Amino acid sequence: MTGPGRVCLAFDLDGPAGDQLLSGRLWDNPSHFCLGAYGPDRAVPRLIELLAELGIRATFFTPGWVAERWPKLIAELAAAGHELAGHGHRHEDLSVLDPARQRDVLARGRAAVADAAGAEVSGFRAPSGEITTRTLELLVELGYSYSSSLRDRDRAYRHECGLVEVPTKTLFDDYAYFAYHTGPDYPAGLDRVASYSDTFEAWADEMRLGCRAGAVSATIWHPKVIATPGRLHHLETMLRQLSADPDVRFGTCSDVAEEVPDGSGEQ
Amino acid sequence: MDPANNSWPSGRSCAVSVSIDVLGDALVARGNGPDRPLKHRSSARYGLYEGAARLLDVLTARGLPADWYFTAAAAADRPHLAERVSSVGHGIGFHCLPMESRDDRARHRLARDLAGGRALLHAITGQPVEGFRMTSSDWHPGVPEHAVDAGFRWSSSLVVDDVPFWLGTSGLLEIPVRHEWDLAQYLAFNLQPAFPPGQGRIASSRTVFGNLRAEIAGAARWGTSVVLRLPADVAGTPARAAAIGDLLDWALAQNAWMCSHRDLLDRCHAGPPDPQPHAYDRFLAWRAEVA
Repeated sequence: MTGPGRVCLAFDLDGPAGDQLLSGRLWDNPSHFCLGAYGPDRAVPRLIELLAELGIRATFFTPGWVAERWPKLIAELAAAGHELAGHGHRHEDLSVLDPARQRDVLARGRAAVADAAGAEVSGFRAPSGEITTRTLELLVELGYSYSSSLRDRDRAYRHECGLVEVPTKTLFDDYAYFAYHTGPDYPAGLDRVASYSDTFEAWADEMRLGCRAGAVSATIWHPKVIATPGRLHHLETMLRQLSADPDVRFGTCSDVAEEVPDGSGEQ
Repeated sequence: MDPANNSWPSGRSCAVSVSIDVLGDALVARGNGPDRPLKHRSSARYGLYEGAARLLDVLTARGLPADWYFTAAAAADRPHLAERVSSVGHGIGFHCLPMESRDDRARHRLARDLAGGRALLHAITGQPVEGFRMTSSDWHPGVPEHAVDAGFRWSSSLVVDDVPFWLGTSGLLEIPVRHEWDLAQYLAFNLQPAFPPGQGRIASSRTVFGNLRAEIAGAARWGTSVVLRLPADVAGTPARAAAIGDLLDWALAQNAWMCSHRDLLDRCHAGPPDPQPHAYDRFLAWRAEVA
Protein backbone atom coordinates (compact mmCIF):
# COMPACT_ATOMS: atom_id res chain seq x y z
CA MET A 1 0.00 0.00 0.00
CA THR A 2 1.28 3.44 -0.84
CA GLY A 3 0.05 6.90 0.01
CA PRO A 4 -1.51 8.09 3.21
CA GLY A 5 -2.48 5.65 5.90
CA ARG A 6 -5.90 4.85 7.25
CA VAL A 7 -7.64 4.53 10.57
CA CYS A 8 -9.91 1.48 10.56
CA LEU A 9 -12.32 1.40 13.48
CA ALA A 10 -12.63 -2.36 13.82
CA PHE A 11 -14.81 -3.94 16.49
CA ASP A 12 -14.94 -7.56 17.62
CA LEU A 13 -18.66 -7.96 18.32
CA ASP A 14 -18.27 -11.03 20.53
CA GLY A 15 -21.34 -10.67 22.74
CA PRO A 16 -21.35 -13.62 25.18
CA ALA A 17 -19.51 -15.90 22.70
CA GLY A 18 -16.17 -17.31 23.82
CA ASP A 19 -14.72 -19.90 26.17
CA GLN A 20 -17.70 -19.95 28.53
CA LEU A 21 -20.12 -20.55 25.65
CA LEU A 22 -17.89 -23.24 24.16
CA SER A 23 -17.58 -25.09 27.47
CA GLY A 24 -21.27 -24.69 28.38
CA ARG A 25 -20.39 -22.95 31.67
CA LEU A 26 -22.08 -19.80 30.37
CA TRP A 27 -25.48 -21.31 31.11
CA ASP A 28 -24.79 -21.36 34.83
CA ASN A 29 -23.36 -17.84 34.90
CA PRO A 30 -26.02 -15.19 34.19
CA SER A 31 -23.63 -12.44 35.18
CA HIS A 32 -21.09 -13.39 32.50
CA PHE A 33 -23.83 -13.80 29.91
CA CYS A 34 -25.32 -10.36 30.62
CA LEU A 35 -21.91 -8.70 30.58
CA GLY A 36 -21.36 -10.15 27.10
CA ALA A 37 -24.87 -9.23 25.92
CA TYR A 38 -24.18 -5.64 26.98
CA GLY A 39 -22.20 -5.34 23.71
CA PRO A 40 -25.03 -5.97 21.24
CA ASP A 41 -27.79 -4.70 23.55
CA ARG A 42 -26.37 -1.41 24.84
CA ALA A 43 -23.03 -0.61 23.27
CA VAL A 44 -23.59 -1.17 19.55
CA PRO A 45 -26.71 1.05 19.31
CA ARG A 46 -24.65 3.87 20.85
CA LEU A 47 -21.84 3.24 18.36
CA ILE A 48 -24.29 3.31 15.44
CA GLU A 49 -25.58 6.68 16.63
CA LEU A 50 -22.15 8.17 17.27
CA LEU A 51 -20.56 6.93 14.03
CA ALA A 52 -23.53 8.24 12.03
CA GLU A 53 -23.03 11.69 13.60
CA LEU A 54 -19.37 11.59 12.64
CA GLY A 55 -19.87 10.05 9.19
CA ILE A 56 -17.44 7.20 9.89
CA ARG A 57 -17.93 3.64 8.60
CA ALA A 58 -16.49 0.81 10.70
CA THR A 59 -15.91 -2.94 10.51
CA PHE A 60 -17.63 -5.36 12.92
CA PHE A 61 -16.04 -8.81 13.15
CA THR A 62 -18.90 -10.95 14.39
CA PRO A 63 -19.14 -14.62 15.40
CA GLY A 64 -21.90 -16.41 13.50
CA TRP A 65 -23.66 -17.38 16.75
CA VAL A 66 -24.00 -13.68 17.65
CA ALA A 67 -25.41 -12.89 14.20
CA GLU A 68 -27.97 -15.68 14.62
CA ARG A 69 -29.02 -14.39 18.05
CA TRP A 70 -29.04 -10.65 17.21
CA PRO A 71 -30.06 -10.62 13.49
CA LYS A 72 -31.93 -7.29 13.70
CA LEU A 73 -28.88 -5.51 15.06
CA ILE A 74 -26.65 -6.95 12.35
CA ALA A 75 -29.12 -5.76 9.71
CA GLU A 76 -29.10 -2.28 11.31
CA LEU A 77 -25.32 -2.16 11.17
CA ALA A 78 -25.34 -3.15 7.51
CA ALA A 79 -28.06 -0.61 6.72
CA ALA A 80 -25.96 2.08 8.39
CA GLY A 81 -23.14 1.35 5.95
CA HIS A 82 -20.84 -0.61 8.24
CA GLU A 83 -18.93 -3.68 7.15
CA LEU A 84 -19.83 -7.04 8.71
CA ALA A 85 -17.03 -9.61 8.74
CA GLY A 86 -16.34 -13.10 10.09
CA HIS A 87 -15.03 -14.01 13.54
CA GLY A 88 -15.58 -17.77 13.79
CA HIS A 89 -18.92 -19.21 14.81
CA ARG A 90 -18.77 -19.32 18.61
CA HIS A 91 -15.39 -17.55 18.99
CA GLU A 92 -13.37 -20.76 18.67
CA ASP A 93 -9.61 -21.11 19.02
CA LEU A 94 -9.06 -22.35 15.46
CA SER A 95 -5.52 -23.59 16.07
CA VAL A 96 -6.77 -26.50 18.18
CA LEU A 97 -9.25 -27.66 15.53
CA ASP A 98 -8.44 -30.07 12.69
CA PRO A 99 -8.82 -28.71 9.12
CA ALA A 100 -12.29 -30.20 8.61
CA ARG A 101 -13.58 -28.65 11.82
CA GLN A 102 -11.91 -25.32 11.01
CA ARG A 103 -13.58 -25.33 7.60
CA ASP A 104 -16.96 -26.00 9.21
CA VAL A 105 -16.55 -23.18 11.74
CA LEU A 106 -15.36 -20.66 9.14
CA ALA A 107 -18.09 -21.55 6.63
CA ARG A 108 -20.87 -21.60 9.21
CA GLY A 109 -19.79 -18.31 10.76
CA ARG A 110 -19.51 -16.58 7.41
CA ALA A 111 -22.93 -17.80 6.26
CA ALA A 112 -24.64 -16.69 9.46
CA VAL A 113 -23.19 -13.17 9.29
CA ALA A 114 -23.97 -12.87 5.57
CA ASP A 115 -27.56 -14.02 6.13
CA ALA A 116 -28.16 -11.48 8.91
CA ALA A 117 -26.42 -8.63 7.09
CA GLY A 118 -27.90 -9.40 3.68
CA ALA A 119 -24.45 -8.79 2.22
CA GLU A 120 -21.31 -10.66 1.20
CA VAL A 121 -18.69 -11.23 3.88
CA SER A 122 -15.13 -10.76 2.68
CA GLY A 123 -13.18 -10.21 5.91
CA PHE A 124 -12.12 -12.32 8.86
CA ARG A 125 -10.41 -11.77 12.17
CA ALA A 126 -9.07 -14.61 14.28
CA PRO A 127 -10.93 -15.10 17.56
CA SER A 128 -8.97 -15.83 20.75
CA GLY A 129 -6.02 -18.12 20.36
CA GLU A 130 -4.05 -18.72 17.20
CA ILE A 131 -4.45 -19.32 13.49
CA THR A 132 -2.11 -21.22 11.16
CA THR A 133 -1.06 -21.15 7.52
CA ARG A 134 -3.72 -23.82 6.99
CA THR A 135 -6.35 -21.40 8.33
CA LEU A 136 -5.28 -18.77 5.80
CA GLU A 137 -5.59 -21.31 2.96
CA LEU A 138 -9.05 -22.32 4.17
CA LEU A 139 -10.14 -18.69 4.24
CA VAL A 140 -9.22 -18.34 0.55
CA GLU A 141 -10.97 -21.62 -0.27
CA LEU A 142 -14.14 -20.42 1.44
CA GLY A 143 -14.23 -17.06 -0.35
CA TYR A 144 -12.83 -14.69 2.22
CA SER A 145 -10.57 -12.05 0.65
CA TYR A 146 -8.77 -10.65 3.68
CA SER A 147 -7.78 -11.31 7.28
CA SER A 148 -7.12 -8.71 9.97
CA SER A 149 -5.44 -10.97 12.50
CA LEU A 150 -1.66 -10.55 12.32
CA ARG A 151 0.50 -7.81 13.78
CA ASP A 152 3.73 -7.86 11.79
CA ARG A 153 3.49 -4.83 9.47
CA ASP A 154 2.31 -1.24 9.29
CA ARG A 155 0.77 -1.67 5.84
CA ALA A 156 -1.60 -4.17 4.30
CA TYR A 157 0.01 -6.98 2.30
CA ARG A 158 -0.83 -10.21 0.51
CA HIS A 159 -0.03 -13.68 1.82
CA GLU A 160 1.41 -16.29 -0.54
CA CYS A 161 -2.01 -17.96 -0.69
CA GLY A 162 -3.48 -14.74 -2.08
CA LEU A 163 -5.29 -13.60 1.05
CA VAL A 164 -4.77 -9.95 1.97
CA GLU A 165 -3.69 -9.15 5.52
CA VAL A 166 -4.87 -5.87 7.06
CA PRO A 167 -2.52 -5.82 10.03
CA THR A 168 -3.42 -4.63 13.46
CA LYS A 169 -1.42 -4.00 16.64
CA THR A 170 -1.83 -5.27 20.18
CA LEU A 171 -1.56 -1.68 21.41
CA PHE A 172 -4.96 -1.04 19.80
CA ASP A 173 -6.65 -3.86 21.80
CA ASP A 174 -8.99 -2.35 24.40
CA TYR A 175 -8.73 -5.54 26.48
CA ALA A 176 -5.14 -4.59 27.29
CA TYR A 177 -6.33 -1.41 29.04
CA PHE A 178 -9.92 -1.68 30.14
CA ALA A 179 -11.37 -5.21 30.24
CA TYR A 180 -11.89 -6.42 33.80
CA HIS A 181 -14.10 -9.12 35.21
CA THR A 182 -14.09 -11.74 37.91
CA GLY A 183 -15.29 -15.34 37.83
CA PRO A 184 -13.52 -15.98 35.42
CA ASP A 185 -10.86 -13.41 36.27
CA TYR A 186 -9.53 -11.09 33.57
CA PRO A 187 -6.77 -10.03 33.56
CA ALA A 188 -5.42 -13.08 35.38
CA GLY A 189 -3.79 -10.96 38.09
CA LEU A 190 -6.75 -8.51 38.22
CA ASP A 191 -4.57 -5.55 37.36
CA ARG A 192 -6.32 -2.17 37.45
CA VAL A 193 -8.42 -0.51 34.75
CA ALA A 194 -6.12 2.00 33.02
CA SER A 195 -6.54 5.76 32.81
CA TYR A 196 -9.07 6.59 30.10
CA SER A 197 -7.44 9.91 29.22
CA ASP A 198 -3.92 8.44 28.96
CA THR A 199 -5.13 5.53 26.82
CA PHE A 200 -7.10 7.60 24.32
CA GLU A 201 -4.25 10.10 24.09
CA ALA A 202 -1.84 7.27 23.20
CA TRP A 203 -4.25 5.87 20.60
CA ALA A 204 -4.79 9.29 19.02
CA ASP A 205 -1.03 9.82 18.72
CA GLU A 206 -0.54 6.43 17.03
CA MET A 207 -3.43 7.05 14.62
CA ARG A 208 -2.36 10.58 13.71
CA LEU A 209 1.31 9.74 13.23
CA GLY A 210 0.41 6.41 11.62
CA CYS A 211 -1.59 8.16 8.92
CA ARG A 212 1.35 10.44 8.20
CA ALA A 213 3.64 7.38 7.95
CA GLY A 214 1.29 5.52 5.60
CA ALA A 215 0.37 2.95 8.25
CA VAL A 216 -2.94 1.22 8.88
CA SER A 217 -4.30 1.70 12.39
CA ALA A 218 -6.86 -1.10 12.70
CA THR A 219 -8.31 -1.28 16.20
CA ILE A 220 -9.23 -4.37 18.20
CA TRP A 221 -12.10 -2.83 20.08
CA HIS A 222 -14.94 -4.74 21.72
CA PRO A 223 -18.25 -2.86 21.99
CA LYS A 224 -18.87 -4.24 25.48
CA VAL A 225 -15.54 -2.78 26.60
CA ILE A 226 -15.00 0.40 24.56
CA ALA A 227 -18.59 1.64 24.38
CA THR A 228 -19.48 2.04 28.02
CA PRO A 229 -20.68 5.59 28.66
CA GLY A 230 -17.43 6.74 30.31
CA ARG A 231 -15.20 5.42 27.54
CA LEU A 232 -17.52 6.71 24.83
CA HIS A 233 -17.08 10.13 26.39
CA HIS A 234 -13.37 9.96 25.52
CA LEU A 235 -13.89 8.08 22.25
CA GLU A 236 -16.23 10.76 20.95
CA THR A 237 -13.77 13.51 21.83
CA MET A 238 -10.90 11.63 20.16
CA LEU A 239 -12.83 10.88 16.96
CA ARG A 240 -14.01 14.49 16.62
CA GLN A 241 -10.40 15.68 16.93
CA LEU A 242 -9.10 13.11 14.44
CA SER A 243 -11.90 13.91 11.99
CA ALA A 244 -10.72 17.51 11.93
CA ASP A 245 -7.12 16.48 11.13
CA PRO A 246 -6.50 16.70 7.35
CA ASP A 247 -3.91 13.89 7.53
CA VAL A 248 -6.34 11.35 9.01
CA ARG A 249 -8.47 9.17 6.72
CA PHE A 250 -11.00 6.70 8.06
CA GLY A 251 -12.12 3.56 6.23
CA THR A 252 -13.26 0.00 6.74
CA CYS A 253 -10.82 -2.89 6.70
CA SER A 254 -12.36 -3.89 3.40
CA ASP A 255 -11.50 -0.46 1.96
CA VAL A 256 -7.86 -1.06 2.88
CA ALA A 257 -7.82 -4.62 1.56
CA GLU A 258 -9.15 -3.50 -1.80
CA GLU A 259 -6.22 -1.11 -2.22
CA VAL A 260 -3.67 -3.96 -2.16
CA PRO A 261 -2.54 -4.86 -5.69
CA ASP A 262 -3.58 -8.19 -7.18
CA GLY A 263 -1.13 -11.07 -7.49
CA SER A 264 -0.07 -13.65 -4.97
CA GLY A 265 3.04 -13.94 -2.90
CA GLU A 266 4.11 -12.02 0.18
CA GLN A 267 5.22 -8.46 -0.60
CA MET B 1 -36.37 0.13 32.46
CA ASP B 2 -34.46 0.66 29.27
CA PRO B 3 -32.04 3.47 28.35
CA ALA B 4 -34.24 4.41 25.42
CA ASN B 5 -37.01 5.16 27.92
CA ASN B 6 -34.92 6.86 30.56
CA SER B 7 -36.34 10.08 31.82
CA TRP B 8 -34.91 10.91 35.17
CA PRO B 9 -36.89 13.18 37.51
CA SER B 10 -37.02 16.93 36.84
CA GLY B 11 -35.12 16.61 33.57
CA ARG B 12 -31.97 15.35 35.28
CA SER B 13 -29.26 14.11 32.92
CA CYS B 14 -28.47 10.78 34.61
CA ALA B 15 -28.84 8.93 37.91
CA VAL B 16 -25.95 8.74 40.37
CA SER B 17 -26.24 6.72 43.56
CA VAL B 18 -23.65 6.24 46.28
CA SER B 19 -23.22 2.79 47.81
CA ILE B 20 -20.85 2.02 50.65
CA ASP B 21 -19.62 -1.49 51.44
CA VAL B 22 -18.99 -2.05 55.14
CA LEU B 23 -17.37 -5.46 55.24
CA GLY B 24 -15.21 -5.34 58.34
CA ASP B 25 -12.78 -8.21 58.67
CA ALA B 26 -15.21 -11.05 57.95
CA LEU B 27 -13.23 -12.04 54.86
CA VAL B 28 -9.80 -11.99 56.45
CA ALA B 29 -10.14 -13.04 60.09
CA ARG B 30 -8.52 -16.40 60.72
CA GLY B 31 -7.86 -18.07 64.02
CA ASN B 32 -8.58 -16.88 67.56
CA GLY B 33 -6.79 -15.74 70.67
CA PRO B 34 -3.25 -14.39 70.93
CA ASP B 35 -2.07 -16.12 67.73
CA ARG B 36 -4.63 -14.41 65.54
CA PRO B 37 -2.92 -12.44 62.70
CA LEU B 38 -3.56 -8.74 63.18
CA LYS B 39 -2.03 -6.75 60.32
CA HIS B 40 -4.28 -7.76 57.42
CA ARG B 41 -7.26 -7.74 59.74
CA SER B 42 -6.47 -4.22 60.90
CA SER B 43 -6.53 -2.88 57.32
CA ALA B 44 -9.96 -4.39 56.82
CA ARG B 45 -11.19 -2.87 60.10
CA TYR B 46 -10.15 0.66 59.12
CA GLY B 47 -13.56 1.13 57.56
CA LEU B 48 -15.28 0.32 60.87
CA TYR B 49 -13.12 2.63 62.97
CA GLU B 50 -12.49 5.56 60.60
CA GLY B 51 -13.59 5.23 56.99
CA ALA B 52 -17.35 4.85 57.39
CA ALA B 53 -17.64 7.87 59.69
CA ARG B 54 -15.60 10.05 57.34
CA LEU B 55 -17.72 9.06 54.32
CA LEU B 56 -20.84 9.75 56.35
CA ASP B 57 -19.54 13.27 57.02
CA VAL B 58 -18.90 13.80 53.29
CA LEU B 59 -22.50 12.87 52.51
CA THR B 60 -24.00 14.80 55.42
CA ALA B 61 -22.16 17.98 54.41
CA ARG B 62 -23.90 17.79 51.02
CA GLY B 63 -27.24 16.43 52.16
CA LEU B 64 -26.89 13.45 49.82
CA PRO B 65 -28.47 9.99 50.23
CA ALA B 66 -26.54 6.71 50.17
CA ASP B 67 -27.04 2.98 50.61
CA TRP B 68 -24.80 1.16 53.07
CA TYR B 69 -24.31 -2.57 52.58
CA PHE B 70 -23.18 -4.18 55.87
CA THR B 71 -22.02 -7.73 56.35
CA ALA B 72 -23.72 -9.39 59.30
CA ALA B 73 -20.36 -9.57 61.08
CA ALA B 74 -19.64 -5.86 60.60
CA ALA B 75 -23.10 -4.86 61.82
CA ALA B 76 -22.83 -7.13 64.86
CA ASP B 77 -19.32 -5.84 65.57
CA ARG B 78 -20.27 -2.14 65.36
CA PRO B 79 -24.05 -1.92 65.79
CA HIS B 80 -23.82 1.75 66.76
CA LEU B 81 -22.34 2.51 63.31
CA ALA B 82 -25.30 0.90 61.52
CA GLU B 83 -27.67 2.70 63.90
CA ARG B 84 -26.01 6.05 63.24
CA VAL B 85 -26.10 5.60 59.47
CA SER B 86 -29.74 4.60 59.65
CA SER B 87 -30.71 7.43 62.00
CA VAL B 88 -29.64 10.11 59.52
CA GLY B 89 -31.84 8.60 56.80
CA HIS B 90 -29.49 6.47 54.74
CA GLY B 91 -30.54 3.09 53.35
CA ILE B 92 -29.32 -0.06 55.08
CA GLY B 93 -28.67 -3.14 52.97
CA PHE B 94 -27.21 -6.58 53.58
CA HIS B 95 -23.86 -7.63 52.11
CA CYS B 96 -23.50 -11.42 51.65
CA LEU B 97 -20.10 -12.97 52.02
CA PRO B 98 -18.69 -14.72 48.93
CA MET B 99 -19.68 -18.36 48.59
CA GLU B 100 -16.93 -20.87 49.25
CA SER B 101 -18.36 -23.33 46.74
CA ARG B 102 -21.17 -23.52 44.19
CA ASP B 103 -22.70 -26.81 45.31
CA ASP B 104 -26.34 -27.25 46.30
CA ARG B 105 -25.56 -27.04 50.00
CA ALA B 106 -23.83 -23.65 49.52
CA ARG B 107 -26.78 -22.41 47.49
CA HIS B 108 -29.22 -23.36 50.21
CA ARG B 109 -26.99 -21.72 52.79
CA LEU B 110 -27.18 -18.52 50.74
CA ALA B 111 -30.96 -18.53 51.16
CA ARG B 112 -30.56 -18.85 54.95
CA ASP B 113 -27.87 -16.14 55.01
CA LEU B 114 -30.10 -13.69 53.14
CA ALA B 115 -32.93 -14.15 55.62
CA GLY B 116 -30.62 -14.06 58.64
CA GLY B 117 -28.72 -10.98 57.53
CA ARG B 118 -31.88 -9.06 56.84
CA ALA B 119 -33.32 -9.94 60.25
CA LEU B 120 -30.14 -8.91 62.04
CA LEU B 121 -29.89 -5.52 60.33
CA HIS B 122 -33.56 -4.85 60.94
CA ALA B 123 -33.13 -5.68 64.62
CA ILE B 124 -30.19 -3.27 64.92
CA THR B 125 -31.57 -0.33 62.95
CA GLY B 126 -35.34 -0.77 63.21
CA GLN B 127 -35.65 0.16 59.53
CA PRO B 128 -36.82 -2.09 56.70
CA VAL B 129 -33.92 -3.78 54.93
CA GLU B 130 -34.91 -4.06 51.29
CA GLY B 131 -31.65 -4.36 49.36
CA PHE B 132 -28.70 -6.72 49.32
CA ARG B 133 -25.40 -7.15 47.56
CA MET B 134 -23.46 -10.31 46.75
CA THR B 135 -20.52 -11.32 44.60
CA SER B 136 -21.60 -11.14 40.96
CA SER B 137 -19.92 -14.39 39.97
CA ASP B 138 -21.67 -16.25 42.84
CA TRP B 139 -25.05 -15.41 41.32
CA HIS B 140 -27.03 -18.38 40.07
CA PRO B 141 -30.46 -18.49 38.45
CA GLY B 142 -32.29 -19.26 41.73
CA VAL B 143 -31.03 -16.21 43.65
CA PRO B 144 -33.92 -13.80 42.85
CA GLU B 145 -36.52 -16.21 44.22
CA HIS B 146 -34.48 -16.82 47.40
CA ALA B 147 -34.10 -13.06 47.88
CA VAL B 148 -37.78 -12.30 47.38
CA ASP B 149 -38.69 -15.10 49.81
CA ALA B 150 -36.37 -13.46 52.35
CA GLY B 151 -38.16 -10.10 51.92
CA PHE B 152 -35.75 -8.22 49.66
CA ARG B 153 -36.97 -5.92 46.91
CA TRP B 154 -33.73 -5.14 45.09
CA SER B 155 -30.20 -6.38 44.58
CA SER B 156 -27.18 -4.28 43.70
CA SER B 157 -24.82 -7.09 42.79
CA LEU B 158 -24.51 -7.88 39.10
CA VAL B 159 -21.62 -6.31 37.20
CA VAL B 160 -23.50 -6.30 33.93
CA ASP B 161 -25.29 -3.11 32.91
CA ASP B 162 -25.71 0.62 33.43
CA VAL B 163 -29.44 0.91 34.04
CA PRO B 164 -31.64 -0.95 36.56
CA PHE B 165 -33.62 -3.92 35.27
CA TRP B 166 -36.12 -6.48 36.54
CA LEU B 167 -34.82 -9.98 37.16
CA GLY B 168 -37.18 -12.16 35.13
CA THR B 169 -40.62 -12.41 36.70
CA SER B 170 -39.31 -12.58 40.28
CA GLY B 171 -40.30 -9.00 41.13
CA LEU B 172 -36.73 -8.28 42.27
CA LEU B 173 -35.02 -5.22 40.76
CA GLU B 174 -31.33 -5.32 39.90
CA ILE B 175 -29.45 -2.03 40.35
CA PRO B 176 -26.28 -3.09 38.56
CA VAL B 177 -22.75 -2.08 39.36
CA ARG B 178 -19.65 -2.04 37.19
CA HIS B 179 -16.01 -2.61 38.08
CA GLU B 180 -15.07 0.82 36.74
CA TRP B 181 -17.29 2.40 39.44
CA ASP B 182 -15.73 0.35 42.25
CA LEU B 183 -12.90 1.92 44.23
CA ALA B 184 -11.73 -1.52 45.38
CA GLN B 185 -10.85 -2.37 41.77
CA TYR B 186 -8.52 0.65 41.63
CA LEU B 187 -7.26 0.94 45.19
CA ALA B 188 -7.48 -2.29 47.22
CA PHE B 189 -4.10 -3.87 47.87
CA ASN B 190 -2.64 -6.41 50.27
CA LEU B 191 0.87 -7.77 50.45
CA GLN B 192 0.20 -11.16 52.05
CA PRO B 193 -2.03 -12.81 51.05
CA ALA B 194 -1.68 -11.08 47.69
CA PHE B 195 -4.50 -8.87 46.54
CA PRO B 196 -5.01 -8.32 43.70
CA PRO B 197 -3.55 -11.70 42.74
CA GLY B 198 -1.01 -10.06 40.40
CA GLN B 199 -0.41 -7.22 42.86
CA GLY B 200 -0.91 -4.53 40.24
CA ARG B 201 0.06 -1.11 41.56
CA ILE B 202 -2.48 1.03 43.39
CA ALA B 203 -3.92 3.41 40.78
CA SER B 204 -3.24 7.14 40.98
CA SER B 205 -6.00 9.43 42.21
CA ARG B 206 -5.80 11.19 38.86
CA THR B 207 -6.68 7.92 37.09
CA VAL B 208 -9.44 6.95 39.53
CA PHE B 209 -11.26 10.24 39.70
CA GLY B 210 -10.57 11.13 36.06
CA ASN B 211 -12.22 7.87 35.02
CA LEU B 212 -15.14 8.40 37.41
CA ARG B 213 -15.78 11.90 36.05
CA ALA B 214 -15.80 10.44 32.53
CA GLU B 215 -18.29 7.81 33.71
CA ILE B 216 -20.65 10.49 35.01
CA ALA B 217 -20.17 12.68 31.91
CA GLY B 218 -20.91 9.63 29.74
CA ALA B 219 -23.96 8.75 31.80
CA ALA B 220 -25.24 12.30 31.29
CA ARG B 221 -24.64 11.98 27.53
CA TRP B 222 -26.46 8.64 27.22
CA GLY B 223 -29.02 8.97 30.04
CA THR B 224 -27.74 6.03 32.06
CA SER B 225 -27.03 5.48 35.75
CA VAL B 226 -23.86 5.21 37.82
CA VAL B 227 -23.62 3.34 41.13
CA LEU B 228 -20.51 4.55 42.91
CA ARG B 229 -19.17 1.68 44.98
CA LEU B 230 -17.11 2.83 47.92
CA PRO B 231 -15.62 0.25 50.30
CA ALA B 232 -15.38 2.03 53.66
CA ASP B 233 -11.93 0.61 54.42
CA VAL B 234 -10.41 1.71 51.10
CA ALA B 235 -12.37 4.89 50.29
CA GLY B 236 -12.57 6.51 53.71
CA THR B 237 -9.05 7.92 54.11
CA PRO B 238 -8.77 11.72 54.42
CA ALA B 239 -7.61 12.49 50.88
CA ARG B 240 -9.78 9.90 49.14
CA ALA B 241 -12.87 11.00 51.06
CA ALA B 242 -12.15 14.60 50.09
CA ALA B 243 -11.78 13.59 46.43
CA ILE B 244 -15.10 11.72 46.65
CA GLY B 245 -16.70 14.91 47.98
CA ASP B 246 -15.30 16.84 45.00
CA LEU B 247 -16.61 14.16 42.63
CA LEU B 248 -20.10 14.39 44.14
CA ASP B 249 -20.06 18.20 43.80
CA TRP B 250 -19.03 17.75 40.18
CA ALA B 251 -21.84 15.24 39.58
CA LEU B 252 -24.35 17.75 40.95
CA ALA B 253 -22.96 20.35 38.54
CA GLN B 254 -23.67 17.91 35.67
CA ASN B 255 -27.36 17.96 36.63
CA ALA B 256 -27.24 14.36 37.88
CA TRP B 257 -30.12 12.96 39.90
CA MET B 258 -28.47 11.99 43.20
CA CYS B 259 -30.67 9.17 44.36
CA SER B 260 -30.95 6.28 46.77
CA HIS B 261 -31.59 2.71 45.70
CA ARG B 262 -35.10 3.01 47.09
CA ASP B 263 -35.59 6.03 44.79
CA LEU B 264 -34.52 3.88 41.83
CA LEU B 265 -36.95 1.14 42.83
CA ASP B 266 -39.82 3.64 42.98
CA ARG B 267 -38.77 5.13 39.65
CA CYS B 268 -38.69 1.73 37.96
CA HIS B 269 -42.11 0.83 39.34
CA ALA B 270 -43.48 4.07 37.89
CA GLY B 271 -41.63 3.87 34.57
CA PRO B 272 -42.77 2.27 31.31
CA PRO B 273 -42.07 -1.43 30.76
CA ASP B 274 -39.00 -2.42 28.78
CA PRO B 275 -39.67 -2.41 25.03
CA GLN B 276 -37.62 -5.61 24.68
CA PRO B 277 -36.63 -8.40 27.06
CA HIS B 278 -33.54 -7.70 29.12
CA ALA B 279 -30.47 -9.88 28.58
CA TYR B 280 -31.27 -11.58 31.88
CA ASP B 281 -34.63 -12.75 30.49
CA ARG B 282 -32.96 -13.99 27.33
CA PHE B 283 -30.40 -15.81 29.45
CA LEU B 284 -33.20 -17.71 31.19
CA ALA B 285 -34.95 -18.51 27.89
CA TRP B 286 -31.83 -19.58 26.01
CA ARG B 287 -30.60 -21.56 29.01
CA ALA B 288 -33.85 -23.51 28.92
CA GLU B 289 -33.29 -24.19 25.20
CA VAL B 290 -29.88 -25.77 25.74
CA ALA B 291 -30.85 -27.70 28.90
